[in-house]
Amino acid sequence: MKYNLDILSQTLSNGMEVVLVHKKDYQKSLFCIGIPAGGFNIEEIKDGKHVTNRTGVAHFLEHQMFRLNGKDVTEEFAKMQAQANAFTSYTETCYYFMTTANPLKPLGLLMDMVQNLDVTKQSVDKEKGIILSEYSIYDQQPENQMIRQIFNSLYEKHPLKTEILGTPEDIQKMEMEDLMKFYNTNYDPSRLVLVGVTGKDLGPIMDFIEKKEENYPSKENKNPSRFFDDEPERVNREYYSKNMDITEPYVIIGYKLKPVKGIMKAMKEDLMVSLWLDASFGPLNPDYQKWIDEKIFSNGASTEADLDIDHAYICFWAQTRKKEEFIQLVDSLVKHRKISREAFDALKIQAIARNLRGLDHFENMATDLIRSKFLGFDYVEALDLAKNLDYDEVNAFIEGLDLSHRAIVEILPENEQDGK
Amino acid sequence: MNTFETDKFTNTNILIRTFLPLKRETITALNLMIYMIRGRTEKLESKRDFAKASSMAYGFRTFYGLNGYGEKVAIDIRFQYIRSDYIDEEHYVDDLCFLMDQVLFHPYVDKAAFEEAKFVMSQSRIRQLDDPDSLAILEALKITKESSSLGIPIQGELEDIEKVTFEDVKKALEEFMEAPKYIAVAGRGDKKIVDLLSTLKPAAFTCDKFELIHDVKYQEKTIEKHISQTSLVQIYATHISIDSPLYYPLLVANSILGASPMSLLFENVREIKSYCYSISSALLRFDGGLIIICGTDKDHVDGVIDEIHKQIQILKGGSFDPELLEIAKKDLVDTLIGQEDRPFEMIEQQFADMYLKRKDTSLEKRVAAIESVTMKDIEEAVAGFELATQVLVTQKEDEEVEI
Repeated sequence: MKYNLDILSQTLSNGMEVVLVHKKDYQKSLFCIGIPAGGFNIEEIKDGKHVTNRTGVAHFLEHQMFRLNGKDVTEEFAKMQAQANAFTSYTETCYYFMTTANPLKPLGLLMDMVQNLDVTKQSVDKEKGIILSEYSIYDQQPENQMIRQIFNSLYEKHPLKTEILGTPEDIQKMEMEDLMKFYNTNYDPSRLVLVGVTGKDLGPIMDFIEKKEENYPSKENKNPSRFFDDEPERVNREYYSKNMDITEPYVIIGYKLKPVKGIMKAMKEDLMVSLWLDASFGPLNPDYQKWIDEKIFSNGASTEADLDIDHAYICFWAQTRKKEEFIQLVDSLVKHRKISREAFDALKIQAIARNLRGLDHFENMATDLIRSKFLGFDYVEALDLAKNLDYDEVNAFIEGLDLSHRAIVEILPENEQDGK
Repeated sequence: MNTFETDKFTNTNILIRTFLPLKRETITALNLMIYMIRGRTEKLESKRDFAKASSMAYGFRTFYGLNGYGEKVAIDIRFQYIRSDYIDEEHYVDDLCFLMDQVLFHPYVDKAAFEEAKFVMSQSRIRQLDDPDSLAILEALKITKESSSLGIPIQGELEDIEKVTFEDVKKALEEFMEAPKYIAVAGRGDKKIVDLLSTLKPAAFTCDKFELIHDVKYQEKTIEKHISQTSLVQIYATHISIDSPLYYPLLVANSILGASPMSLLFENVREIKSYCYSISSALLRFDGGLIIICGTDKDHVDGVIDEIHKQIQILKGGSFDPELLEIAKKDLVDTLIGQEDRPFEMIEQQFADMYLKRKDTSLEKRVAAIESVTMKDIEEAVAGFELATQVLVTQKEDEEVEI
């Protein structure tokens, strides 16, 4: 199996990590700068001190960063034939642009934009209405509500229970000082990772980046870190329901697991769980057709899982009128977990293929490379996890999972009562 | 067969397109048919068998889709497979040929699949109609041209599902199988697979007639729901068809209005007034229409409507910053060049050129056509814009209870 990868990687004198990937014959370039701070960075330890940020600060700052020297840089990017954007996840904030033109000028602009904070009271106040509007988009989506509420049910303290956008109250109260404090803690050049995926030659680009970064020495010697309160093993609440203006109800069943010690172990276990979920809650399960024939669910049903170093959960959800039958179905999957050899072989090959395909997806590859640097794992070694899966090992792991901590959330049509 | 030979993609990508008339009487049956043949063939009768065979062929993927082309509906089957020189297995290409042969020539339908399709399609449509944005768009399209192809939802009608019979679906399948196909391959091809695809009846589809939105009589509709944000959709008649000399200026005008990074709507409605997170415009290419979509709070709706109207007048008067024209053109040029990196977009561009009988269709010519658009062209392209429809799916206020 060969990976179509041509990588040039370097750590600069200011500590910034740079990874460039050459994609032969491609017209486009994507450059992305990642910051290891996101929705989880509500409680932090900096210089030995405990710091509490407003919820949503990482995301609010992301909105504000598209300013330099008092101007909106979106126009500058556009004049260079580049499209700029950004996103905030739970664990990182990423700023990126794409272009088919020469990428050096917009790359320089991206580097300047991220490494200079230009924020005013007026710019902060103006952004509040925009972010509250974004909040409303997610607030009225039943599937988003379902996920939000299951996280609240599973977790008492973990910041997974808080929206990346923050609460409307904190969005409304955000001040310039909150953003500056967060920026100064998290945006030092030594903490940043710059990834480029491009059809252009890598050498001149690396030279350009190296030279430009001489203008941005690191100011920090100590890395700040996220703080997580001790989280009990039990769930926060076993049942919750909410009414919304929808026609058919949703139900989600979540299982809280212990976090995994070590990032490669977490990635491997996450992969094994994904394989089990695809085998059990997909067409490879001989019972899957029976469940559809019985109308327990249609194509509005799926699973969601994340096993990581600070949290771990598995969820099954469906839009269905047959809530009790769905809960029983999931119970039976949880009780009888063995994956058949046939399903394992098919899904292992599919996972290998997925990794190969992923190498053509510039945005996904850039994000994965950034995460590999933040979390300290080897990107190619992570790709090889699928290839090295062992049938007996996967089954032993899945059968050994403690799935005793369960919560259920229902999103119900208006005027419908919950089952309790 | 249309081929785009390149070694840069990990996948080989194949499109097989069939055109049938877009009619209210048959669209729901077509949707049901698509659902029924997905993942079932004569030798792979169950979803499980098909899923297993596809997975074992290194995640061979089959996608089905329906898209509107004015008065026609395109029924697409897309295949994606990891290119064969990456897979060190002797029987790999034969496995792929078997799967494609099954999908293309031996789809399988029965009454059980029909019942299942009706259930699944109902649930999908209910979900779609529960979503305020989707509901606003569907209602706006429907009332703009009630009895024409624009008003026919490509996903079929919820109320028609129970009226469709198994015989209707079998008839639709027969028509689909018999119809000639547009076939395209982008990536590294394999002779055995190309030979298999060559046994399909090929077609070069062309279009002569466009039914544009005309005789505009403004209509509006408001629907109330218990939601957090109002969805506003407006549809304008542009009176410009896709084969008009004004089409490229219209493309640029749309970009300036609501599609480019510095669009008039984005800058004024969102960035200056903070009325919304999202506002954009898009062309209804084959219908001579332009659609504007915005999510905003109920209290800002009037402000948003006023601002949209104001920006369209600015566009009509040519009184916008000329820099925006250059930015819009650069954005479109970048998109055109970027198509070379996206296999299905390469195929779509070639298809559109064939369908519209365009000559001089090189990338260089298209880029030159965009770059030559002037302010005067923009004014001419937008002069005929007429607001045809406005739909609001808005936040319902709870009734006050008298004590």
